[in-house]
Amino acid sequence: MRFLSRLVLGLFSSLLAISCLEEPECVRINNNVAGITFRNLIDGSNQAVLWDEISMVGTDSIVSGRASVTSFVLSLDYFNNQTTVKFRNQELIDSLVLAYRVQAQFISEECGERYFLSDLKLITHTFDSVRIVSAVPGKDTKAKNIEIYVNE
Amino acid sequence: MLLVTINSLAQPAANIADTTKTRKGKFLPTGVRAGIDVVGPIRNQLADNFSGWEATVDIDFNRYLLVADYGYTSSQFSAEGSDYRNDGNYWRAGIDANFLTRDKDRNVFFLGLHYGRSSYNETMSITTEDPIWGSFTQDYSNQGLNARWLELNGGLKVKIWRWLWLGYTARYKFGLKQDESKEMLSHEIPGYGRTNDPATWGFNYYVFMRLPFRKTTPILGR
Repeated sequence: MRFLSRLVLGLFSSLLAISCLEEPECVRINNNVAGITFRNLIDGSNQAVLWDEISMVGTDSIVSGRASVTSFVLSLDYFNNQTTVKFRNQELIDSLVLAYRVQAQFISEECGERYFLSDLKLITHTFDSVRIVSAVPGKDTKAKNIEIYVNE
Repeated sequence: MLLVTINSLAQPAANIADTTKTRKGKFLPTGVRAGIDVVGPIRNQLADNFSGWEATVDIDFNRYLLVADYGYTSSQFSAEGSDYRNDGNYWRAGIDANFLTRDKDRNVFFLGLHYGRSSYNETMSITTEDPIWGSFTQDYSNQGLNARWLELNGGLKVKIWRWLWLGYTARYKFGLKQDESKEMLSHEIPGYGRTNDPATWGFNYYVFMRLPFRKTTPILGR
């Protein structure tokens, strides 16, 4: 019986220790970041493209002002299941319409809810060619989801 | 001569019948034990956002116990801008193996594998502010969801006095299968717990009453 008592005490203490482990921190819990890279249509190498402005429809926020851009990250609209991106330079306006699935989930009393995005798809675009390389958006600037092929 | 032959053949047959009878006897249940979890009622008293109960029953077949649990929980979680509630029933069933085979009271130190299943509803209200996309308010509701999982269990059941037993079960829950097609993903599943990780832990402390069917002897004899 002494053995049993010790066993009970030991296992109970271990369980208490496990239950007291800290909750994860609430840093970037939404995965609504899509990484976009421009590539050369001929050889597939990274391609810098000069844009006057890259912006998203439905917000005043600008992704990029006048700059030569090789890659950038986009904050997808997780309140809707579609985001439209406009690319403007002196000669033309290109656009890219992305659709995805949005699911909400309560995480914890400290962190609140998160939005989980998946099934990233291309609805329409005005570029030479566009490819989805990963259908699950990321949480930070390391995300790599879309390659836009341009003939410069 | 013929009688002698028949007699000599009949003897091993009788031995076989005795052995079979003994084996069958070894696997006859000695009693049924029913219990309630005391962790749930304590949480009911301590926490405003939880209510629940769980009952369990087991029956022994030699060193093996056939175990079934049934329970109900209702939980509420609130954070800044969001409120989540769920409620539902669950059951588990499985086999435990008793490693205290020489104990005269048939106290139990067990390990086992159980299958669990839950039917539940959940709702969530959200008000979110985003620096780029503005504000968003949405109500979600998932009704009639089902989930299933497996548990590796270990614990003790100890005779305290006559029919009164106490015991606990520590549960390692894994292999969760749930409906992930809805606009809201589950935060917590009754009987399973939080879904954030691929596996989770659970703990129950039970008070049992054991009703014996026949005289209890050590599983492997003295």
